[in-house]
Amino acid sequence: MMARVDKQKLQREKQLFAYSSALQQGDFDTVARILQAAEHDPLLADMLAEINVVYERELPSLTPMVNHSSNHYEEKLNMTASVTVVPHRPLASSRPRLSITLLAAMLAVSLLGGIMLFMRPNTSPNIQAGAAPTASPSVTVTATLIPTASPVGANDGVVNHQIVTINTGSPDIRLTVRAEPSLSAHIVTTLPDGHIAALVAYSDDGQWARIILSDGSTGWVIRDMLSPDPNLFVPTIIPAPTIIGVVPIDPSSPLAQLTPANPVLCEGVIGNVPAFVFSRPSTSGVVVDTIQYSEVLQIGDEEYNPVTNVSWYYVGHGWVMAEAFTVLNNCPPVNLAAVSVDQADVETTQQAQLTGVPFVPTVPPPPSLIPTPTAYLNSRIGDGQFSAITLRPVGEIPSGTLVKSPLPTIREKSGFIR
Amino acid sequence: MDQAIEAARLRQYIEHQSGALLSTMRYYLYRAGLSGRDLPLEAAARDLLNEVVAEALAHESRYDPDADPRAWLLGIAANLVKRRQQDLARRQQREPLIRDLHPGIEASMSDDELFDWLADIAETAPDALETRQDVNQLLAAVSSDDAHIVRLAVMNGLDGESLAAKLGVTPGAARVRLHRALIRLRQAHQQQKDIDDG
Repeated sequence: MMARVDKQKLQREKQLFAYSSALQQGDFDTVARILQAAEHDPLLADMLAEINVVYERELPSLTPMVNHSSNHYEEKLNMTASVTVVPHRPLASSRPRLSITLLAAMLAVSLLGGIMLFMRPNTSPNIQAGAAPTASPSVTVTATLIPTASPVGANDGVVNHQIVTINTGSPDIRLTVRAEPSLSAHIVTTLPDGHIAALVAYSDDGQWARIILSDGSTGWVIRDMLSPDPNLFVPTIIPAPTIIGVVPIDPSSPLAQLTPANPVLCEGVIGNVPAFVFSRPSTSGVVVDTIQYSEVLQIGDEEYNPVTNVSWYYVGHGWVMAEAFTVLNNCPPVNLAAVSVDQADVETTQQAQLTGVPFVPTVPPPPSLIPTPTAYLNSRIGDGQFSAITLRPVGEIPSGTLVKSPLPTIREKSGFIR
Repeated sequence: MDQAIEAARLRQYIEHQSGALLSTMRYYLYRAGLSGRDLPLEAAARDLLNEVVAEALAHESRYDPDADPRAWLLGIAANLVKRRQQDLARRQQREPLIRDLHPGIEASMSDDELFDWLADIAETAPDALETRQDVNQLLAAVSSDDAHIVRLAVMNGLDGESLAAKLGVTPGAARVRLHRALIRLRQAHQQQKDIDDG
């Protein structure tokens, strides 16, 4: 029998949920309100910090970025480079003519992506427990039939692609890309005017267009912002395949180089964004598939790459980086004996042992990379945008000092520089 | 004098915790969709941290020495992020016109309503998860993993520590998993409602 719920504890849990929910929705009004409540509730503040750590740890796998606190930097750059298909148009010229080479390359990538989507398994396990490895590797192709002609979910069928150019009307205006065809949906990224993308579908109401982003994932943009006239394009939906059984693989195919399927080792759930499946446990391999958010995968093998310090899981038709998973159920810990662990990360390591999620120790940035109040003004002043001012630490500039600030928010709102 | 000491402590906290603060702000910017606009995420986070520090030092006299400095600083960050979102929304004036086309985009159940509903079940009849048809129907609409997490949480009074002990993970990780399950549960509820409403 459950003990009576502690009201104060319950209130904290409620605030924590509101905080998480607000973060997911980008509602920083609520975030600020809960943080204000936490100012005088140290326990709530600690709980929020714990949640933040979990979210922050996921971030490197969510978006490619220059991460000074991670030794995965080169790994991520390689991964980004290997899937980028939409180069940025120079802004100086007028709208350029798409080169034949680029168009051909993009169509080839789209076609390859279509083939991979066709061949990929669904969330259903495709590693047969107890199945003996065979001399000729094979995969079981499964998929879900889409119910409507307007794909919006993760299990869409394959559609034809058309190359389009983003046209915001000004080089200074960027186009917002959202996770769903709705203005309330999370903003995935923004794209500059002139950016080239592949159009794959429209929303039910025809107001939004779904495009493929540079990382291979998709997002929704307002249809009117695309050029040439997207009315010329009528998406043709190719029904996703049904289960057709075991398909032999051509020995010359990259897929044939995969490790034969082992018996199921454990299960994992993919995190917040599509994860890439590589042909081998390295980002130097070929991207053979992308796996959508929250898909549950059965894992047949695991491997630790000591060179890149990354753990990989074999999911039946390729390898996925460990950090793409938010949940790993009953996966044996990957051997990290060769990795040195910073004393400050001991707790994180213990958590990794509990959860089975491999822990990759982080390298703290050198002190010079951490901005300090003094460094802030010095760097701003030193970039040539300030003149006739003596360098002083933040907080010591006399009131009334005239400064030409590139950051009007500080000048206007804090009164710090006037 | 006391205020000067507290101000010094605040500055010391900022100096020592700038790395951790930067990390959280990086995530805030990502969730706010403000990364990759004029600056890459990393640079945007540094810029935000600098702005937070400047604001904090400019208003350090308002800092309550009894307050948690991390929550206070992150609160400033959240307000700055909110302000940037508002600026961005003003610049994208054409988008609100489309909102009229989607009048039903707001979620039917608020965070409070959803949590209170589950808390009421947890407090009064935790076994209702197995017997109430509406609850079962809702849990059936999400994945088995999500349903399992929600059931565990309700059976444990929605207490993060107890849930963490059951799952064998840290409280933070357990709460994040529960919160994601609840968000998907709400989406499932909205979809069911849309279907019921025709």
